[in-house]
Amino acid sequence: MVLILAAFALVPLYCWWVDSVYPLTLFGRILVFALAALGLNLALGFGGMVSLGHAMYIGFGAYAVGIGSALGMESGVLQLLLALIATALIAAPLGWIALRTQGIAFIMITLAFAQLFYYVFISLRMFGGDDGMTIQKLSAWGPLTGNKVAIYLSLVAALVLAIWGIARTVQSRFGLVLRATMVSERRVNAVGTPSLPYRLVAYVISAELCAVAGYFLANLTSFVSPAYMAWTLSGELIVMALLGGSATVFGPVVGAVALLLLEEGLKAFTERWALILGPIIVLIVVFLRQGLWGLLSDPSEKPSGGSSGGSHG
Amino acid sequence: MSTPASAQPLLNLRGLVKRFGGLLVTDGVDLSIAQGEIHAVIGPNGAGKTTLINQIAGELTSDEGSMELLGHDVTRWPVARRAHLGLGRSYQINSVIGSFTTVENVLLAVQSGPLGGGHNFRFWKPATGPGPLIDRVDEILRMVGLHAERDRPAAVLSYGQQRLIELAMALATEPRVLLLDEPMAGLGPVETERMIELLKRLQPHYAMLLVEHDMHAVFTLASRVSVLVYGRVLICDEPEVVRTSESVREAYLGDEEISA
Repeated sequence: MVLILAAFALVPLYCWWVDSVYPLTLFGRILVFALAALGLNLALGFGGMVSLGHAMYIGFGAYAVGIGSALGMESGVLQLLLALIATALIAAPLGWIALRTQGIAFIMITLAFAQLFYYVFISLRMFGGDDGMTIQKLSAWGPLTGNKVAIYLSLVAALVLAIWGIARTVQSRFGLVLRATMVSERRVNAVGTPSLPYRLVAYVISAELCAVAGYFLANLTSFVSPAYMAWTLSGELIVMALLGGSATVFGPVVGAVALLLLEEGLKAFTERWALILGPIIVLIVVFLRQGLWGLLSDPSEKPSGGSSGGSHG
Repeated sequence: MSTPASAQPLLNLRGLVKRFGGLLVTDGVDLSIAQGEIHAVIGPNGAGKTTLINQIAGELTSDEGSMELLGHDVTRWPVARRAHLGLGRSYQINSVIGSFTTVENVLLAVQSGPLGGGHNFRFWKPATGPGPLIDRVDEILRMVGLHAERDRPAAVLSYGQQRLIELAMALATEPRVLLLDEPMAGLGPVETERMIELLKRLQPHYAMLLVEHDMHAVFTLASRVSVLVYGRVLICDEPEVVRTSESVREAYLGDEEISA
């Protein structure tokens, strides 16, 4: 795990070596989705909440930068706060409604709200509408403003912090309740802890991490568009989590790296890359129940659901 | 064993009714249990025993009647709130969390109890780290004889051991009233004896409602026995009276033998 993260931190050095910014863009994108998948997985892998709407929160984070900048609010801190507050204000009531349901109904409600906001942002003509908009001025962070390497490295730092935070959280008292609700909400209620508030808080934290990912995405690409909120992207986040191993903390990061690098590699190789990528994902998810990282970190068989909560490899 | 008439009942049901559509599953059940009492509820399959327990626990809302727990009218309270006030239950079918270790299962219940400080929004410290919560978990595990299995996942333990975790979880919320839904179900004779011994030891500290098919266990443990038939309490009396009652024999013992 340390190796993978260290490799990410060394990418800027490599860019300088080969004198190209392309790796920085590629790996920046991977990091963004790793962070988002990590966030989603707190709800998905540890709380059993299959949300098909988390790309919406990436969009909120990105539009906080885009709209903030367009309206003259360039402070990076304020934009980040805007992203976090807007996300909390949407995620809390949405989660509260969605969590009254289970299974397919939960998936459909999260999807429905995400689609709703997707079309809201498409209709915002003054902020680019369907085409999206180029961000003229990136989030202001003093002398570091607009420095791609600085953005990239803070993204690495954010990812490391998020991994650490989630690893602590799932082992904490809160995490114990959350993981128990995934198996049996009834059990948790019977011991005197109402399950809903805990699930809701996990859902909101998970949304916030996606918003932070979106904040970085906008700064890396200098661009926002409703495409960041597409439901297919929400689906891809789920695939990343499952691919890497949703019962582990680090799994989604591995899943994001594997999926996007595989996609990139196959694109160079053939135009019909999706035809090859699809079956590979299916095979991995079917045959490696613990996902890629589950296999790497813990080859011994173990009941899924993860009493270990996560691997601190 | 009889309890002094002055003992304040911890659990009090008055005219509890539950209907599923046109079917009357619980038909005006009155029942009260004081501390130190084990009140056994027996009856043929389908008599509504588990429904009654679910009503008391709050998983099913009652259509009529009222329920008092430790002097509070809890008729409209949700499950978690009743549990928090002092109602513990064990399930007929094991509902321990298989992927959790024994410690984690019991901790889940302990941290929801009075030692937990009212909520579990603690995000940073490892839950199983040293402290008063984990001390209490170990204490309970020693009490039920599971301490040797503390760090093994519940899923790999024997059925009998899982039943004990189930009981430990019910005890761990520090309840005053215990609802035990067939604690002997699926246990072998040796394990059953051990469970009976354990419940006897616990008896003075709790008011217990025991739903059980094992008649040996019922007549060894119970201070009072209610016979439930079609949701109605046919008779509620001391074990000796119930065992020799003619109407019980007709309604119930036709298909099952009381040989204890």
